[in-house]
Amino acid sequence: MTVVKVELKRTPQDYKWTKPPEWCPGCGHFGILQALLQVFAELNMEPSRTVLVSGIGCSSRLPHYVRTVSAHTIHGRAVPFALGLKLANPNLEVMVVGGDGDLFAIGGNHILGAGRRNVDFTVVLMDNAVYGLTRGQAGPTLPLGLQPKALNKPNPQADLNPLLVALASGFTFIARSYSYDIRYTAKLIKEAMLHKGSALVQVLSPCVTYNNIMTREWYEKRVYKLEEADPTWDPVVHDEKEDYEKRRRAIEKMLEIERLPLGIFYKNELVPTFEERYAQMYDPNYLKFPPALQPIEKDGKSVIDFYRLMADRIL
Amino acid sequence: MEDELASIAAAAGAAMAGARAATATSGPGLSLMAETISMLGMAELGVVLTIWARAGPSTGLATRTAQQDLFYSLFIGHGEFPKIVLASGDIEEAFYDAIKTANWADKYQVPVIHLVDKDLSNTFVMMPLPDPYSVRIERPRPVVFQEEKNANRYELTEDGLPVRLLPGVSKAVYHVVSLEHDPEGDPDEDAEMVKKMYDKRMRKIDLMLKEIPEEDKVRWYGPRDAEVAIVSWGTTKPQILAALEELPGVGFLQLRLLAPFPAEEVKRYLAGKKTLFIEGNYMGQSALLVRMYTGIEADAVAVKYNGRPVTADEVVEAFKRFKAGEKRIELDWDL
Repeated sequence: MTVVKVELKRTPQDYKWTKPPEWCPGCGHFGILQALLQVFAELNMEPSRTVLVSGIGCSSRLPHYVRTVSAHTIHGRAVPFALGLKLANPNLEVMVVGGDGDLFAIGGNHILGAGRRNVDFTVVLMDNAVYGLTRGQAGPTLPLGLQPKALNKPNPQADLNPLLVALASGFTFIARSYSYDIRYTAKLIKEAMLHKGSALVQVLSPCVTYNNIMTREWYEKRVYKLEEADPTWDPVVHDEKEDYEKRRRAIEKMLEIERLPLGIFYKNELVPTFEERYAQMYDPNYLKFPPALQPIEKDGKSVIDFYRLMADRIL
Repeated sequence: MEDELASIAAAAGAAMAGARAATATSGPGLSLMAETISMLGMAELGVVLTIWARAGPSTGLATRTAQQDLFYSLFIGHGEFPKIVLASGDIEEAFYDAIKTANWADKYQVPVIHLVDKDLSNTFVMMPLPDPYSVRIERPRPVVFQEEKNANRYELTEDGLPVRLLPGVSKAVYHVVSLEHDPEGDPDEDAEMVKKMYDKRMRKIDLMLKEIPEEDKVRWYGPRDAEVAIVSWGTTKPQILAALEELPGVGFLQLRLLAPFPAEEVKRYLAGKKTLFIEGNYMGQSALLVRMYTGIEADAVAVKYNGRPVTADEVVEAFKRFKAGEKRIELDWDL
């Protein structure tokens, strides 16, 4: 991201929109919202240059509670919408927020595409393992055999691991947090935003209304912090030669299910972003004059030299 | 992008950022884009979709041509919202229409379907050198505030057009949304507001019909006092024009703007004439469309749906069979 220096110093309060959240009392998502407001204030983000993009779901309502530009789009398509925004104007700070169903079930294919590109944006996965907005059906991260109260039989499908998917598809920053730990969530989201490249932060966020199994108590018995368990934990790839080993160790930690590690699993800024690749391979002026900012006409006339462009086809 | 769901979503994002945004696909890809097309209508984002229609249904004749996707282009997307569908008749038209459709997407902030077909998209022709500078590029200037402030992208404007705000440019803080909403862009189901917003969006239809010039709606060829009008759209145009040379006294009404439908112009041109519709589908979709919007019943419909374009000779044949009293004329020449 590019940090723009402005004199005005904003507080979390400055990032509250005109309307209050409409989530169930006690919802884990409040913690994520609070963490976001805090991070935006710490980084003094310009609300008119920061764009939150969401799909559909309880979590996808979050942009309506935040004072930044936002787009609340349709189910599953937040990621490609965000990529279109970011690539049309790479000066924007673009963040996707959404649930496990939106981002990893209906929208899963776009996570795969995003990782391959390593566009400089952040995805905050608000993971409660159920479809809360439609009354608690099983989400893609609900473990096999569990039966939260909306299901009339135990879940016959296995859960997918968003962190492994993100790593396999090429995300260069992968972290996990827990929503009731607001300070830690803020810390990881801030790291993700400062990261150059595609970042995924999975935030375990209990659904107090429909997920009566993966509750606050359930999570708090299981979560631990990587850097507290192992003070030498260093997820950063400092040299390309380390990449294999760092990935291998990240995968080992991601595979833990009895206990759930929190923290940064993997971070690699040595991979060029899509924006850098595009500027290098196609258009050296791309970052300065991206599609959204380049003039296309002067007095109504195209600025493109059409006859030069078509020279090989003109007889 | 990885698929058509992503392509149209990325184009929508690029449109929101302020770029001219377009994507291209054929029938199957258009099916995947349907949900986002509806979102473009609600969120009021302008994207051009160039549709390279081919012979269906399903994978059908994937590399052959058809005009089966007229209805699909017109009615795609759940709910009701303004949309533009423009069909080009030949490559030269398609060239200028590409600029016009982009202008309209920018101005009206709606999905714009530029409907061409495989026959047109895949044909090499020698054509006069076009002059792209002859079509004015028009795009509304974004609002830019002196200081950062909250703004209503969905103000209840008189002409129905949304305020043009761009992230990182306008110094505006605003919300774009796919749900029915208030002027601030947040979900709102208040009965009064729902109707006001609906009306506001639909007002764009009247504005388009008022502003889009007649030559982009319909074109008439041949004597104005012709007793018989051949009516068609899209890439049958060159063949019909060629056939007219052998059919003195016959006129040709080319339908170009198919949504919003220019009922007044069509009625004016077809008043008091016998009509023969010619097109590349089974149902005679444009004949049904004209009846729906104008009440004018086709006297005959010539259709072709074997994956091959209608030829000039077939137009002449269709006319002869029409004169002989046939109401439904099925054309089936191979090439």
